[in-house]
This record gives sequence, structure tokens and C-alpha cells, in this order.
Amino acid sequence: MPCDPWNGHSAKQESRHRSGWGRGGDGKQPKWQTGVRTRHGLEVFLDARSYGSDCAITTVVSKYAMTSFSGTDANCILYGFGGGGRAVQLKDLVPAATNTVNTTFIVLDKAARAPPHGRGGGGREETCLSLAADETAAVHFLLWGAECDAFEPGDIVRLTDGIFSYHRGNSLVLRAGRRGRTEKVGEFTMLFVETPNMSELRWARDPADPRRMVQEAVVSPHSQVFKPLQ
Amino acid sequence: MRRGHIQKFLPPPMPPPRLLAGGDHHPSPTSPSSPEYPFFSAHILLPSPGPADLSSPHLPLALAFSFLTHPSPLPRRLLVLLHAAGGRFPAFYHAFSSALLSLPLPLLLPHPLTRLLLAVSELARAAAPGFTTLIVSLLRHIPFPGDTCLLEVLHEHSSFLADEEPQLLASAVFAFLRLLAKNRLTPASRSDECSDCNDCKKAKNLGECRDKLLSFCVSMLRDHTQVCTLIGRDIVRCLHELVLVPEFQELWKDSMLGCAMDICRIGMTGWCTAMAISPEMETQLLFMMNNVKWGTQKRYQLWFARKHLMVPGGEERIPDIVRFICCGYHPTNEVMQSGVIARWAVIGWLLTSCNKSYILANAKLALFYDWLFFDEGEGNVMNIEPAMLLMVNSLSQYTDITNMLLEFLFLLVENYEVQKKGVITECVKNAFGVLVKKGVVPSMEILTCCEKLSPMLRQKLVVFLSSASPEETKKTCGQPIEEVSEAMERKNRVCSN
Repeated sequence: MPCDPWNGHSAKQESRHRSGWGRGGDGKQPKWQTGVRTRHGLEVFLDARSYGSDCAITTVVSKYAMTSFSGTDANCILYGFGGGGRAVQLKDLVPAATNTVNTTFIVLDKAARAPPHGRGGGGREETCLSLAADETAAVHFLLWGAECDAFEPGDIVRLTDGIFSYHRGNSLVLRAGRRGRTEKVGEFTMLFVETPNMSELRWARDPADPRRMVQEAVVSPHSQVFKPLQ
Repeated sequence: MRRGHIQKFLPPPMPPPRLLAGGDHHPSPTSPSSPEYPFFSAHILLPSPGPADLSSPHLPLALAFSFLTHPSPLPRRLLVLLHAAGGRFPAFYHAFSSALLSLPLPLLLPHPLTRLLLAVSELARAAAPGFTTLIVSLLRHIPFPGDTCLLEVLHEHSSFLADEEPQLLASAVFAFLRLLAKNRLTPASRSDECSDCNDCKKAKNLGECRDKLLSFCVSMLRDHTQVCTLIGRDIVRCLHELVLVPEFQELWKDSMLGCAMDICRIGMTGWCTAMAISPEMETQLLFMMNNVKWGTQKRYQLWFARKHLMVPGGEERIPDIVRFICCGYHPTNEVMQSGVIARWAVIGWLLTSCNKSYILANAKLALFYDWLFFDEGEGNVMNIEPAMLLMVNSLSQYTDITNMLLEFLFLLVENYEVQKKGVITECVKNAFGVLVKKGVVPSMEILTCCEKLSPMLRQKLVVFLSSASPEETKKTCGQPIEEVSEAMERKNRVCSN
């Protein structure tokens, strides 16, 4: 049964203007938890999102949701300022095709840039693989476009609405994706571990629940791209 | 209904001006994690602060925001409001300066930075409570664009400051001397972003007025010697580094020569240990020594080096960092036993990061400086502990570091102040004695009986220790050098560990 975003819409949820994408009740479908009142509004919003134009989205949000929000608030909604969903630690990452990862990590290292790839040329952006970690685990984080210049090793980054999934076939990476957002919130003063590395695990479908992935094996205790410094 | 609909589509009003640099990947001012957020929120509540808002709790931040961002020229009403509020409510000036202090200086945009300096001179002119903290914080960031303003403020109010705020004046002289000594006066690049604003155009960098800076330091050292000696022995260390500058040569001959040894008896005071390093450096060093466990420090060291040492004038700061670690941070026993990286290890890493030999020499001098004037009654064993532990802990794997340090220590004893060699010898001997007495090392045998150490240095050490106070040396290292070899057998265990 498709998840209805407005089922069980409580007064408390209504007052939370700064929430963004959250997990749906059963984890199948994202749930838009702000004060957008019409189902129609949500659908148009999703369409606008797929064009990737912030301007259009703001207008759409304005049109369908703005009874009390200002332009700035619209941005807050779009970007999930203030941490819309629950923040997770890197050890709790599970591959999924949803933009629901909110977390904070420190960038340990950056690899060489990869040139824009793919067919079509225009619109493709360069990428840069980085090693990111928090106090519980490490992961490969894929910097995209302007992010490659914005972040340096030692920067503490907050990721909102990111995605942890297989990129270009087989490499498992965390990234902001089109809907996510990254912000530098500090530098240096964060502890980290390099083992386990969530990108160096082999995952398989959960036999009990095929929609979920479970850890199957450890491919390498630490990153095979970024060797630990000792 | 129709009208309301159109209103919704009106373009949003111009966004408020920004204080900090930062693109898409920095928190926006509307995000509570941005340092701009409190200013921004106060500005929304009081967009144009006026006399009617005097008692508003948002006034300090809202006024600071208007003060920093209003296009030139600064309206007089803002200055009037600042002093009206400060006159009415004693806590206002404090709140206003803490608001300004909360902004990260390296990220401040050119126009707000110029205005911040204007606010500082305004607060100093009024001798407003809290202005000293603000100036001290800015002094720790020099050189930065427009920093000459600080020199002007201090110069203008120097007599007042010498009487009322001697610590501030002494700190300023120290900060300026370090800047001159380290030759970090490379002209800081100014952003063109604010080239149309007169205030910003007028702002100069200290690099452009080196002569003014020199004459300020010399005149303060001459006219307010007592104030400057509040810094303690590090002022002498600074002046030694500047001995080739003619102005300081004269000063040294005229007034400092006679009293240098007396000044050296005064240890570095607590409030100025961090004066010569930036607040960011301090935060990161303290994080390393309080939180980072052994074995995981490599990346932190790389980041620190990339950010602070591998930049123009960065390596020159290593001696000051060493001084900060020795005198400015004394960990508690709990921290020392928690498995975090020790002070001596951080210093060892810093010494190996010196590429220029004169910097290495200055860093070693900084490490041993408190040894040369150590007084058992007044000196703090924590100031001399890192050098000893670095020598002892490097014995097994990095013997060349122990050799290098010990050799340097003897060089200092012999040559640092030839006329006072006796006093210095006594102090260094005291230092060794106290380190054993306080249990930092079990006994001096750990050095004198270690086979890996250069035999010449070992012999020198034994002679040195016995020359000063025979009975004590008997206790710690009873045998002459020939007999030491037997004891060495026993002690090889220690070294090979």
C-alpha cells in the first residue's frame, strides 16, 4: 500500500517547518513532513526536483505551501537546515536507494580528481573520491563538482539527505546526490576510526526482508584506496 | 484573494548582507550552526536599531551587525547608539565586544573586518570594558589585512595603557616583536571586493609600515621597560633574535644589557603563553594533546602542518609553538594517563618538521629556555619536563634526537651567556635534579649509562652533573665513566626497550 504522507499528520509535525525528507513509516518511500498541505503540491514539488532547478522548486513550494513561509524558510525546507531527519553514525549506514542519510564526518584524505564522465558531455561534473570517517567507522565519500574544491582533508562536513549506494556499478560510496547537501561545519577537532570501512564490506539482501541489505563479509578492514598512515 | 496570490509571487526582498565568506558549502546565516546566525536573527528582529531599542536584549548583536555591514560612511547614529547603550547599561560594552569576538576572523569579509577594527578603536577610545580582550584576540591573528589599525590604537593610547592595562601593552609588544623576529611581515593580500569603500581603501597592513612598528616597539621597550618585563624571559629570547636589526642593537646596548639576566629570572607569565600563536593553532594543538590517542596522530599532524606550517612564514612559528606547549599547557594526571599523545611527542614531531637550521636552533632554544634559568623554588617542573622526556623516550629508536638535544644543551650552557656561565650551569643542574626528584625520570643513569648515547656526550654529562654538586651526583650516578660500563650491562634493558 502506498504511503500517504498526510496519514497521521500530527499537530507536532505540522509545526516543524525545518524538517526535510524523512523515512516513510515503512522505509519504502520518503515522507515530506513539512506543512505542505496538498497531495498535489507534493507531486509537483517532486517533478520540479527532478529538473534540478532551485528556482523552480522555490516557486513551486511558494505556490503550494507558502501560507506562512518566507523565501528563506523555503530554502530551509529544501535543504533540511537544522537536520531534518535523524542523524546516523557511519557504522549504521546500509546501502539503499534513498536520499535519507544525515550524518557528520571528517574528511581524512582525497584522491586525484576524476574527469567528467559519461555520455552527453554537458552537465557532467568532475568527481573526487575521499575517505571520510567518524568515531564509529569510515566510508568512501564521493565529492561531486564544486565539492571537490570546497572540502580539504581535515574538514568536518555535515551531510544532509545523502545517499549510500553503489555508484557506477560496483563501488559503494556515500555521496550527497542531487537532493543532498554538504556543509563545512568545522575542522580538525573530531576523532575518527579507519576500521571498519563501510565501503569495504560486502552486502547482500536480507533473506528475511529482501528490501533490506545486510552485511555479508568484510572485503578489507580498512580502505583499499586510502591506506592507513602509520 | 487575487491580490494575496500576486503578493506571494513578488520577488523576495534583498537578502541581508553577509559577514563571513563562504559559498554553497558553508552553513547559511539562517542555519544555527553558522557563527553568523545570532547576528542574523538579531538583525531580523531589529533591522534598524535606534534609541527606542536601548533596553532590547537583541541590541548588542543587532547593533554589531549594522555596525559591521552598513555601507560606508558609517552613520553617526550607530556610534551614538553604541555609547548611549554603553553609558546606560554597564554590561552592554561587554556584550558588544563578545559579539564581535565570536566571529571567526579568518572568514570575515573585507568590509566587516575594516568595520571590526573601527569598532575596536572606538571601544579603546572610550576605554570601554571588554576592549582589551578584543585587542588581544586580534593581536594573536596578525598579520591580517588592515592590521595597522591595532598599532595605531596602541600607539595613540600607550601612556594610558601602560598605567591602566599593562598586560595588554606588554602582550602587544611581544606579539609585534615576534612578528618582526619571524619576519612574517609579508604583505597580506587584500581582497578587491571592497575597493569602492573609503574605509577599506585607507586600511593598511603592518607589512607596509615596518618602520612604524619598529619605532613603536623600541619606544615601548625604552619608556615602559617595567611593563614589557611582565612578559618574562621570553622578551629577551625575542630580542636576541632581533639582534641584527640596528634599532634593537642600540636599545640592547643602552638599556637591556644590564638587566637581561634579571628579566630572565622571571618565567613566562600564564596570560601570554599563547600570545604568539593563533587561536586556531591553540585549539588544534590542545585537541591533539587532550583527545588524540597514540597511534592515530599522523593525520592530525599532516593537517596541522598543511594549514599552519607549510605556508609562508609558517615554519618560523615552530619555536613559539614549542614555547606554548612547554609553558602554556600542563596536562592533568588523568589526561596524561588516558593514552593521548604526549607533549614531548608533539615537540619531537615539530622539531623534525624544521627544514631551516636556524629555525631548528630556535626551536631547541625554546625547548630548553626554562632549563637555563631554572629555579627550584619558582620554576615549574612541567615547563622543563617535555625536553627531558623527549631525550629519554627517543633513546631506543631515535638516538640521534637525544644526541642532538643533549649536545645543544651543552652548547647553550657554554655559550648562551658566557659571563653568566656559572649561574646557567647551576640552573641546568638544578633542572636535572628536580626532574629526578619529582620522578619524571627514575635517575640520571637512564642517560649516563645508555650505551646508545654518544660516549663523548655521556662523559660530558657525568662530568657536568658531578661538577656542580658532588654529593648529589653520587646518589644519581655514583661511578666515574670507566666503571659506568659495568652498570651499562644492567641498564641495556632500559635502552633496548
